[in-house]
Amino acid sequence: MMEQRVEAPAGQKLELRRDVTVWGSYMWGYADVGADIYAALGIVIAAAMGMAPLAFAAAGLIYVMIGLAFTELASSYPVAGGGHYYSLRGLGDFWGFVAGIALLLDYTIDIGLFAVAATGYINFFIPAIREYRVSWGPFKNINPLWCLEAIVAILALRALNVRGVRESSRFNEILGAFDLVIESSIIFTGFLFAWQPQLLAYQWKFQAPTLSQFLYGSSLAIISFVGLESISQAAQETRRPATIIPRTSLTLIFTVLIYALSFSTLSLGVLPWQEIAVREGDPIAALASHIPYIGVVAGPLTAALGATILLTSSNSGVMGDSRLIFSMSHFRLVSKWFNKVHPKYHTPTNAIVGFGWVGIVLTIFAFLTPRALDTLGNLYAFGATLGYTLVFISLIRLRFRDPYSPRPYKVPGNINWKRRDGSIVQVPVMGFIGMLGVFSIWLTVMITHDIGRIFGPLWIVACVIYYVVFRRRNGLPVFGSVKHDWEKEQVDVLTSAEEYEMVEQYKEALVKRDKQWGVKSRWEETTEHA
Amino acid sequence: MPERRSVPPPEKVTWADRYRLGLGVLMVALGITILIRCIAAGIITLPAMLMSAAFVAFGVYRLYVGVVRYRQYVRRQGGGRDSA
Repeated sequence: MMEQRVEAPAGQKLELRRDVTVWGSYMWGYADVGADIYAALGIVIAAAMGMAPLAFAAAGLIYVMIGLAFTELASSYPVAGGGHYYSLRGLGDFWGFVAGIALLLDYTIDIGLFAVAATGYINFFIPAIREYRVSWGPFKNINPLWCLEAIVAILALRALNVRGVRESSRFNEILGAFDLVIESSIIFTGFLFAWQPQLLAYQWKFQAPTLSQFLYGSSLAIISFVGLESISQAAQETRRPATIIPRTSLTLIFTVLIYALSFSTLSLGVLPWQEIAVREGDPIAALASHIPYIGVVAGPLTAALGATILLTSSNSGVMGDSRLIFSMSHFRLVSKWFNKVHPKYHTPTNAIVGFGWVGIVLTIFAFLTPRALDTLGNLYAFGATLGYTLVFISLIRLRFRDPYSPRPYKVPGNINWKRRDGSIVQVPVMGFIGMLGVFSIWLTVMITHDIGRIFGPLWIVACVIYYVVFRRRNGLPVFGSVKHDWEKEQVDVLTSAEEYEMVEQYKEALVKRDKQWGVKSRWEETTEHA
Repeated sequence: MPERRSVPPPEKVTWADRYRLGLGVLMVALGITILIRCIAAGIITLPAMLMSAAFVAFGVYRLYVGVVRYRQYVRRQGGGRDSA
């Protein structure tokens, strides 16, 4: 199930296309995004109490819009860079860098968050570690054993990544399918045999949170939809992504949403919210254990599966970090030092080891607070919402700046707008709504997240200072952009994706534009119909 | 500019297709069951109604996609039966 390979960044030689099928692409995303509910359920219920389903629904609404934006962008620009690449193309180098560092923050927290969550599920079998608490000086009620487990997990993943061993698409397919079956079994049997509408109604009515708690909970709920970047990842590694990505990602988006809503509604109809909140390390396993008939088996099975799938998510953080920083380095947003590859394994060692250490430091920091998962979720929400806000702005900007790229899928709800040169641009209304929605969650994070509002901006400021120094030292514009040949890059990307029809459409659109501008088109001789 | 393009017709009916169809049927059934249980208990809450509607809608969507794909497959086979 494992394979050895060398990562290629966005914009470099794109030779990674594999024959990822519709099902494979769907399962890839599901193994990534579908795992998040394992980590998020407990901390969201602890914050939003009886109104947790509404918190998930509020975050889910924004998530659907983000997902649709990613679907459009990933099928139009099938490159693995994700939000960073779209911002770079739409908004220029500086904002490409900002989106990149927001995502870097998230991938790094991913490493810690999912390693902590994975070991939380392992502790389902070792309750002594789960219950262990000590107080050291000013640090009250902390769990150093769980912290140690998480650090060991991160070190192991780091070592695997340095050696270039990663899970294959097939492994993701099997893991994702198994997870889907287990989650579906819990939901179906749970709703049929254990769910009590009276208990849900009681908690909904009488265990409501304050507005501040609810906002905090709904902003934390965004972490149950983490991993949409996997859509762009799948797009880079799929042949004919324009055909496959829209179909798989739309199904993926709604499956993840319905499962997140189901688990929160089911939990509050089976157990009092306090019982889920105290088991924030392994909430789904705790829930599964309480289901009649299958609980005895489903509890341990869910815990084992949860630990495996969350470790995979943690690993995607390590991989995401190295892949993203490699791409940022390629576009001269950060030093080439990050590009250094291991002489034997040909993997970006500096990036993997460096960000692995940052992940470990963040994990230790989180465990110095009484609720490590909540602290990491707190930090995560900042980076995710900032990155997604930039994705929406890029979506809108690219509709104006690059109306020539064929878009196999467009977010619904567009208004035609005629420009001065007579060309028509489709303005994405949902892009504006989504941008406002995700920005409002970002504001909520800044208001309600004590740690996120301090650490998040600090991270951005520190990275921007680095960027200014790096660009000045290398004689590059700080707020301007280095000249990129996006047209050629788009042709290369689409050609490597075997989207020849799109290549022709793109070239024809460019030729038409150049004719309108009265200049000789460099694409004229290369189009089939020229 | 081209709009969303359709996926090529399936070459065979796989276990994944059967699983998706089965899950679609179960989702519709579950959505209706949740609704019936709420009505029987005399309790209507927003999350329960939302879940019920979501399961029915998503289940129907999956069934619709499954049926369309199966028709494409049958057409591709020239009207032949599922051989998988």
